[in-house]
Amino acid sequence: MSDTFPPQGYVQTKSAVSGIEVYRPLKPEELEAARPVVDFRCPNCDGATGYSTDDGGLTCTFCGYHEAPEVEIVGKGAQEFEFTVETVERATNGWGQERKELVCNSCAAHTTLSTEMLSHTCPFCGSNAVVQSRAPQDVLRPRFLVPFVTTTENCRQITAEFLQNSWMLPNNLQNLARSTEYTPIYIPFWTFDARTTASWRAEVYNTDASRRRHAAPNWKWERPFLLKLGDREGKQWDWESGAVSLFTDDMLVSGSGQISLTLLKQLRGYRLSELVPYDPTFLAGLSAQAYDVDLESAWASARRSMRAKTKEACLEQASTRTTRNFSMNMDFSDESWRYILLPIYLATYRYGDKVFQVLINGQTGTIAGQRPVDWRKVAQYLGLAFLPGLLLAIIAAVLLANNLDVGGFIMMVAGIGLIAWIVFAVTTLSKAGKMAEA
Amino acid sequence: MSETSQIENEKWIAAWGADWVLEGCASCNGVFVLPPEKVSQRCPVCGQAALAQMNPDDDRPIHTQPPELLLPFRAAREQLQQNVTQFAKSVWLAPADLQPATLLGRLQPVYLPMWLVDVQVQGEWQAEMGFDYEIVSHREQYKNSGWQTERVKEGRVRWEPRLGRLNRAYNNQMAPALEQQAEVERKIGRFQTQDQQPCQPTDLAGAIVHLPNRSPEDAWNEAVLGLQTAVAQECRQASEANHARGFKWSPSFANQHWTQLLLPLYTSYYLDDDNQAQMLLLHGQTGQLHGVRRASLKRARRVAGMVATVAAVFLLITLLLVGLGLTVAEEALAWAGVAGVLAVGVGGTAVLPLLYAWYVNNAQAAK
Ligand SMILES: [Zn+2]
Ligand SMILES: [Zn+2]
Ligand SMILES: [Zn+2]
Repeated sequence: MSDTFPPQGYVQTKSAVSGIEVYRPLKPEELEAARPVVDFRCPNCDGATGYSTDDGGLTCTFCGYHEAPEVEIVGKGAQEFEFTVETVERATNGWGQERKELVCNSCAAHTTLSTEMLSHTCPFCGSNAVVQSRAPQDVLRPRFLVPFVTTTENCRQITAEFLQNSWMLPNNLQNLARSTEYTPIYIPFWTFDARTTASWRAEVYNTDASRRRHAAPNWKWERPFLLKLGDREGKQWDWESGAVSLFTDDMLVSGSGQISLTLLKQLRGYRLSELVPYDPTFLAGLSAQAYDVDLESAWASARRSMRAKTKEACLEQASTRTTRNFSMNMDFSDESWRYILLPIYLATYRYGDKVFQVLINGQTGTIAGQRPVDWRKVAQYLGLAFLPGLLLAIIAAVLLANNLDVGGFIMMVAGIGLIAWIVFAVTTLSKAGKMAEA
Repeated sequence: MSETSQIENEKWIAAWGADWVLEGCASCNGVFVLPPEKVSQRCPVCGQAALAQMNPDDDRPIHTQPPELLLPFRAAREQLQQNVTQFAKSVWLAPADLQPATLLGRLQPVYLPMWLVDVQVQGEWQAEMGFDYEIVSHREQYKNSGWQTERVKEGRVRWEPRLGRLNRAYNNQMAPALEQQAEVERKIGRFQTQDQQPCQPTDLAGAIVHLPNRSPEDAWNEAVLGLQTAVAQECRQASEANHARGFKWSPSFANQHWTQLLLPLYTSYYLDDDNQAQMLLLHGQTGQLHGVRRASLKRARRVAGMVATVAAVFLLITLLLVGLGLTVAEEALAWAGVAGVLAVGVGGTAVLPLLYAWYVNNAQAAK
């Protein structure tokens, strides 16, 4: 047995039998919960330090002190959690509109921090603090994150390119990218794993050929060959059945209701293989949102996607896609979840009198957002494209008026041109619309 | 009681009272305390020898300390009768002595000793404790173009390390006082110790008491094993866990206090062909019986002889018919054939009783 009692990392807990003492290991969150709020001070000059996305570490803006965080990449091996009854109940209860009163350690200013923010910068003295836990949140706090890889300079380049790669945009946007402010922010995400096991049965409209061709694993054609009585081509509804087992790994569901889902979807493609354990250092001086889409509803939407995917896999097994009376039974198993933070840059820029929003994936640099479409330029181009057709039509009309047969041919060419123009105009306008709306 | 005077006479009489006799068995080395009317009977445990006074130079360990507690005989008379009768019936070609009435007549109540120890245990312990919990899962059904979702709960066990200290008294931990204890329990089952009561001299009337042949020091190791199980169980309860595994401890023991508990047992016996006693053990609480089945080779031989005689008669008839067939009437040869087959067939079955008896006796010996 150990030399010292109790061994390190153990704490006494209640015992139901007198004369027996019970010690249990400290949970990692209990070690961290000892510091509900972490302040960041420079060891050299006592100034406020903050995480810099440009050099990946804590930096002091006063004396230039730099401290790289200990990064231990856990990747997709990052611990996953089960849907225990306890977790699910706590997740549904949420923590309401609770707000946290923060007292600045530097200037003693009082600020209230809304629950959706995990980090805080004192508006009076600029010192940075990271909120570790709130009472009802202890189970449901982020355990892993992907650190910022993209630097502000990268963002400028990416935005500059984004603002120049289409003729529909105004020409003078380069400077815009230079002057834009990029705000790094951590967005909450849920990741879900689950296995879905399904069995299905349906009537499938078959031809002899499709019957012969088809033989998927786990699939069964239920009608005995002896009873093969179809119409003349052997077309007939056959009962078929099959079984499907799928594993979904790390399905991402946004935990933030604030940021446009369509924009977030365009930013997808995070490499979760670069997940690191949560450390408040990564959040110092940056913004970080806590989730506002709770575990239960995020899981419900993930389950909807998973079952749709499983149903699709079932239909895939049928010998043809024409089915009726489709039914399936499906079981979820090995379900697990994670609460992680993913890096995003938020940027807004002004063009004319309008404000445009852009998001950049803080890991891969993928960009998504609204762009100021130059509608006058679009109209000019469309008009220009219309001209040759119009010209041909006029020529054809003149020729036809002079009873020259070739006019009919030219008229036909003009007609084709018109149709091509309409297609072009519609696609261009929809593209432009998307750019402007995003 | 001048017979016992050689062996710690005064101490002995002071402990048990003057009416009791101390005798030993030369075959199983058991030492018994018995009432005067049972003196010099066949050994109630092994049945191989008669009990006799012990020699002064006999150095087998004797623990004459009188017992404090006993478990009373609880088995119903009808139960014992039924078990004994059933046992006697289950042997074909049984020795003459194997009769239910004889067995019941020889039923002898015997008390077997068991050590009980009270001890104060101190030390550290560690184990992995398992806690039951539930997870929420889902089951879905797609029918008539719609989904139906069902929430299901599944049980799981979460294992967590626990350790701690222990300072607790454990009373009445059992430790066998007889070398044969495990064997007896294997044959007739364990004893229910909740029923224990203080031992009064009147309780022992008519019974033979087997004295311990293991000292408390000897039995201590087994007591510790039993304690470990009890402590592991209590540590699990203390941790409010549902399961425990990998229990380890570093105990120190103090204030051991030993007492003796008597366990109730009936024994009986029957004599086989060789006049060897074959023992029956009956649980004094449940009546469960264990006995060695022996067939009588004598009876088997007698039966075999009778069958062989019948076969010989058939053989004789065969020979007669053959003679008749060869000389007078040829059709007698056919009858000779039939008789010959009968002779061989009946003769063959004559081995069966012998085979059976041999099998029964050897199968029991192998056990
Ligand atoms: Zn500094
Ligand atoms: Zn301040
Ligand atoms: Zn004996």
